[in-house]
Amino acid sequence: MIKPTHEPHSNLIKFTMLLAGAVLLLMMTVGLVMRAAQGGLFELDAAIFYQLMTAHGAGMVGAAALTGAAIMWYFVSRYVSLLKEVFVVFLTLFLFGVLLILGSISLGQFGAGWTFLFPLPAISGGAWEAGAAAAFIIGLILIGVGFLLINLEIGRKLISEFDGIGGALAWPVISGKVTPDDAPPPAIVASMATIIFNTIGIVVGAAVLISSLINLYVPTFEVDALLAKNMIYFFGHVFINATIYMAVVAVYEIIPEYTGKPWKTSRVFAIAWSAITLFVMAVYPHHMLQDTVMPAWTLILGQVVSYLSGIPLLAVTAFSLCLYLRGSNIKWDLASALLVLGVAGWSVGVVPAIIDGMISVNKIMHNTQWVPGHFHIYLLLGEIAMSFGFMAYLIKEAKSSEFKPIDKTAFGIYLAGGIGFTLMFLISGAMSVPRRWAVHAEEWMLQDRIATAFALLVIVGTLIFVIRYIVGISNYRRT
Amino acid sequence: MNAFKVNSVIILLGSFILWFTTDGLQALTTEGARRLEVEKQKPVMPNITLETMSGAHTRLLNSSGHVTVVEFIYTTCPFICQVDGGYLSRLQNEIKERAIREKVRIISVSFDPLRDNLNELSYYAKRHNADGHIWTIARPGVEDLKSLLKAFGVVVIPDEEGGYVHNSAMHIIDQQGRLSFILDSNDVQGAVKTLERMLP
Amino acid sequence: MIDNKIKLLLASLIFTFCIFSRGAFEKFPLTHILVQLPLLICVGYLLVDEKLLRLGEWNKGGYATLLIAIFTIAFWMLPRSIDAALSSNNMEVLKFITVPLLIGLPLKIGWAQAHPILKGFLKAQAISMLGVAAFIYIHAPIRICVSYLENAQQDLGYGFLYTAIALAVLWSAPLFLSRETKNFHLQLFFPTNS
Ligand code: HEM
Repeated sequence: MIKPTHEPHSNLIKFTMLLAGAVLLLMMTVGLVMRAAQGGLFELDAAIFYQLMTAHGAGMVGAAALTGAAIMWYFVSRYVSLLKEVFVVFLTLFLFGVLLILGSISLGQFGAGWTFLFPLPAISGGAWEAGAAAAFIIGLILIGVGFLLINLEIGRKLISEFDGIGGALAWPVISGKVTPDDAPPPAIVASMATIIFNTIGIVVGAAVLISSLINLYVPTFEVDALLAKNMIYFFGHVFINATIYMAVVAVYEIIPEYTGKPWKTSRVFAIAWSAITLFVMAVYPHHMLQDTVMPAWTLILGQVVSYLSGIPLLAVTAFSLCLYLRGSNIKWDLASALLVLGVAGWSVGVVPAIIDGMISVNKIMHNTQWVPGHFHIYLLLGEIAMSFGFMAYLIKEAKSSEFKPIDKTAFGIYLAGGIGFTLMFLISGAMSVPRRWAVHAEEWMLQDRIATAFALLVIVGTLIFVIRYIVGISNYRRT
Repeated sequence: MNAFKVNSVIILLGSFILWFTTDGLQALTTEGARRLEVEKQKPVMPNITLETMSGAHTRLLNSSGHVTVVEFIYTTCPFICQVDGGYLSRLQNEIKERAIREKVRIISVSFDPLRDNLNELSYYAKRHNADGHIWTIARPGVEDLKSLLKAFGVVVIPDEEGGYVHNSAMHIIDQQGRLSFILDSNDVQGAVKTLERMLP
Repeated sequence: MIDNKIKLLLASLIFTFCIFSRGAFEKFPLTHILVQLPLLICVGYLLVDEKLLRLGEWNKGGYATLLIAIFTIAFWMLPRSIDAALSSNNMEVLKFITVPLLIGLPLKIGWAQAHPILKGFLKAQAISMLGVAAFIYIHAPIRICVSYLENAQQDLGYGFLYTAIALAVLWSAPLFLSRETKNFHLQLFFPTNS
């Protein structure tokens, strides 16, 4: 078993997580405002709703990616020496990008949604100037470049340290040449896989972003809208998936510290991750099932892969987690509880996606709130839960791990709020309530209002996590 | 020498050159440059004689204070010129509803005067509802063709199917006979706005 | 030393070839952009010798030379510049001078000193930009270069696309090789007795 050999970049990562915690709180409040407005609790100008929705989408995806990247960086830097400067540059680019995006929304009134679907950014009907759309796009490009840089740094170190991409993906374990005892640890396999598809995603994303940017200023340079949509969803799907594949590294690395049993890269584990690397890139056409002009085979591919991509993931991570937990006298505290919740939320979140991936269902459901239902489960109760678990781990004093009452309360509030909030999305979706509608019909408002109350719970839970974290890192400094 | 200084100089110089060669990032293509140039220089067009589809003769620049919209076509064109005909037809309708209708002419000029006889011109007019009053289809004399295209900056290349490739755009000539604006063929609204600005 | 002479000879051969094949290559945008220009870049590449690789402090990290190359590439990526090279002799001469000397030559020098992350970034950027160019050239409803026909422009677009794919494969394939396979190939081509 390859053991950690380096000191991770703790302070840098602690700061990053603090930043992410603040963004999460802010964006959750934005989400609360949107949900309350849908519930008719107060009047909100539709233009403002869409600006908030753009900010919430971009901000949340950004925050999730930031926490994922921080987790991956932290744990990989325990195995190989990474250039700290690269992460600093990444963080700087990220912040500049966020500033541009916030500016384009608040000053420029940009509201075309975080997916910047062509040609929406260019055709605002006078709601915003080309400059605002350009600022948004450039902001995304800067963030993308930041991610590219950390992927390159981690990628090249893993490739040279673990003998090529195949080595880092533990292919020798698959072929039986190497036993799990000598295999690269799961954190390395997961990081290598993520880096592969995320880099490809970013390159494609950059191409479509730059094309959109050129189109803004030279409208005669038209881009093919269908191809652009394909590229955007390829990028978007890969990027948002990558967040959770990075965050799950925290589970692989932290849970063994609780159970005392090392988490090894087994053969099945290695196969599953190599398979996911391909599936993640092939699954995006399930966003296009309603585009009748798409060739049928891509849609069928999307559907089949939707099923397949659920399986290795559920099987390997959730199943092995159960095995590791069973019979071990794991000490529960905030970190371990949130991490386990993260895996559960992730697994449960996949189910509505698989249902929605069925072409027959999708034709009816895809633009309903079923979709935000699906991704809020695996983000709010999956990725973000893992991130909060990682934060709790960062401030944990070495030995004493106990589940303090305040932590228990916060966990309970967050969990209850999260389940209730996402359930309301699913119920609305099943009732065919459309997503992305600023104004809801009277009949839909009941769930909207219940969801608002649950969202408030989520925010209270999050507030306690973040305050505990701030107290934690300031105490940590002193000792 | 210090690397930082050298790099800064290269970036400044490089940006300056790119800025300069693209007219301040406004024109990345030759066509873009042509339009920008026209708006700045407003060159006077040659006052050649055109033969209209009805067989009458008219001058490119007319003295009665009209603004003229010129589009270059060849009537046997299978694609672009037909689409452009549709746009001009819309422009004609827009103009008819406005006060400027007495002061605007639209002329589709064929750059293939040998093949485009009067029959072909009329047929093109009928297909796109050119009324012959505001909008007419015309051809230049063969001897004037080259200087005409050159004055407008229009490049025509024969393609592989016996047709031509050419810049498609609306050229707007003001009352003094100066080429003042070039707009995309599909920019009907932009053309209406420009015309109303020129004819207060 | 001999090595250098061969390289120089090769460079002048390619350069002469480019001059004499001008008409043929410049007839289509595909061969103009994706054959002639890369050949001219090769000429610059071949002109670099050991001495040039060790430029002074001012080229630390290769940034200065890479920047020169990038700006020159940006200039020749403008459709206007390509049109101008076709219609004006001065611009054509400028192309034959600047593409080898301000792209190929500095690119090689800068590349040798660039940090691995910078190299990775530039590779990703190159693939992305080829994608953008493919995107625009395949789909644009207008002629981007007035000197070329529309379907020739589309061919160029597909050319960009295939180049992007080829580069992506070329650059990522070696990353999959393990040390063992690399040694195996080395043994194949340069057998040692041990
Ligand atoms: C208290 C927590 C949250 C609340 C109240 C909330 C609320 C909302 C609401 C009301 C919408 C619009 C639904 C519709 O289309 O009708 C939305 C969309 C969205 N949310 Fe959340 N959300 C929360 C947490 C999160 C988290 C943690 C993430 C990701 C990490 C996230 C990511 C998104 C995304 C990507 C969209 C889609 C935006 C779009 O359609 O363009 N949200 N959220």
